[in-house]
This record gives sequence, structure tokens and C-alpha cells, in this order.
Amino acid sequence: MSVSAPAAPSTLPGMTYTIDPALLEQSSRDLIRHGLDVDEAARIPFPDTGSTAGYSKDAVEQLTSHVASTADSLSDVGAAVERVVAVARLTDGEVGELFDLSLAGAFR
Amino acid sequence: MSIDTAVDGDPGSCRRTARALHDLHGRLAEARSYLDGQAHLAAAHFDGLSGDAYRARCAAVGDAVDAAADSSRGLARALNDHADGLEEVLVVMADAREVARRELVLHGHTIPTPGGYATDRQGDVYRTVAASVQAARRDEARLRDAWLSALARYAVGPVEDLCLPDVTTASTRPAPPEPVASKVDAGAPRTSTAVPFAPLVSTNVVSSTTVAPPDSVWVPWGGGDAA
Repeated sequence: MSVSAPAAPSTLPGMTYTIDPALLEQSSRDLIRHGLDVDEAARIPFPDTGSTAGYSKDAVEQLTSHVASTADSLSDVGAAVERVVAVARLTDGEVGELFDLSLAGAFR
Repeated sequence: MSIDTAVDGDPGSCRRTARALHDLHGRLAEARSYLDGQAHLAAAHFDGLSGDAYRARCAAVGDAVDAAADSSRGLARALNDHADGLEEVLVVMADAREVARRELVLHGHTIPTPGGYATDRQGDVYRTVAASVQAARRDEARLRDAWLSALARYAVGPVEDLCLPDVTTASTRPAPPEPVASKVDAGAPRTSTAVPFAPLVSTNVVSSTTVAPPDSVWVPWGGGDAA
């Protein structure tokens, strides 16, 4: 089974919805890269704010934990897009409404 | 009563963290901008229920990114302000130690009360130093409260998890007593209320007009009011 990437945007034969594989593959890569960038920037040193240093440390930890989770979300969405595009290719464009519904679950 | 000039906290460390938070904000802003574009991706590129789910997910992640970006930017600014204030307090304390080194006695960061053989001038200098240090301590307390307020304001998760002290109570706690020599503060406008030492250090002279007399001094060897 081989499906060549059509010029973007395109409608694959037999599909019930339009998809732009080349653009979405780029989106996938970009989302994963943003996730990695954010994760790398989240290495924040603890500030010595004096008597409040303990509270400062807790606040920075809370923020970096939130940022790490957000970076994971970015990467997860990127990976999900990649899977959706891969499945759309593998089905040779025969993606119906029910399959579309199951693919939508990749983003929840 | 001895004067303690030690100050906890490192402005350099605060600035390093602020820079890292600023960089983080930049990365988050880029990610947010990209997610915005994906959240509004045209149906011509990604149609169907999965396309809608993708756009919704990108919007949701964008909101989380936004919260983190706001927090990192707010904390970075507050930390820089904290570092600025801390530096001012440290300068006042360093000046106080310098004056004590020349005119009084200095033990590490502590300036002991002049003893019984202290001259009048040393007494005046001590009171001036005490007033300045006291004003710097008030600034330090305000900095602490402002920083705790910033931590609460820019918390990206439940504020309760940070177990912060009641800043409202802290900021309204009774102010320390007025400095003994508050009239000394006649220099250029400053954000700090600390009494500048520059005239004292540069001229090595305490003007009689700049030092307020003590409210009441019991003089054991004379004075009609002494019992």
C-alpha cells in the first residue's frame, strides 16, 4: 500500500474530509520542537530572595512543573497529528465518518 | 542595643532567575503564537471531527501556555524589582558598616552600642547609623511583602499549595519606630526610605543640624530632671 502525499491542500480519494498531510506533518514537527524548546527553557534556578527563599523555591517548582506538563502536551499533540496523518495514509484515503470520530480521540 | 546589618538574599541570584524566567517567557510566547495559528487552522487543511478536535486541543494547550507565560513574565519582573530593592538595602548596610569601621566598632556585621567612654560624636554617629539601618529594615520588610504578593499573584497553580504567609497581615503589621535621626534624609529623591550615608562618609563630619537630639537621655552625673 502506498499513498503519495498529494499537493497541499488536497482531498484524498474516498475520504469524507479534507486533510493536508504535508502541512500537518510539518505541524507535528513544529509542535514537538516547541515542546522541547519550552521544556529546555524550564530549567529555572532557585532565587535567593532571603527570608522568603523557601516560598520562592516552591513557586518556581510549581511553575516549572506546570511548564513541563504543558511541554508534554505540546509534544503529545504533535505526536497525535503524526499518527492521524499516518493512519490517513495507511487507509489509502478510505477514511469514513466513524473512523474520523475515532481519530478525533487522538486529541483528547 | 547592637545594630545588625546582615541582610539575607542575593540580588545576583534573583537576577539570574529573572533572566531564566524571561527566556522561558519568550519560548512560551512563541509556542502560544504557533498554537493560536493551529487553533484557527482552516478546514481546507484539516477537516472533519478530528480536525475540530485538533483545533480545540491546540486552543486548550494554548491557554495553559498562556498561563505559564503570564506567570513567568510576572515573576521575572517582580524578581528584578526585588533584586533592585535588595541592592539598595545592601548598599545602606555596607555604608553603615563603613561608617562604623571608621568611627565606631564593628564585629562582623554587627555594630555594638558605644560604651561608656564613647564621645558625643560617636553617640551621634551611632544614632545616625541606627536610624539608617532601621529605615533599611523597613524597606526590606516592604520588599518581602511585595515579593510574597507577587508569588500569590503569579502562582500558576493553587496558591494554597505554596503555603504563603498572610501577606495582608504582613503588610499591615506595625511599622518599626521612626528613626532617631530622620532629619538626615535630605538628599536626592530615592525610592528607598533609607537614610543616605554619603555626606557622613565623604566629609567625615556629622552636622549638628542633621542629627536630631535624643528624646530623653538620663544623665547620671547631672541634669535637674534626673532623680
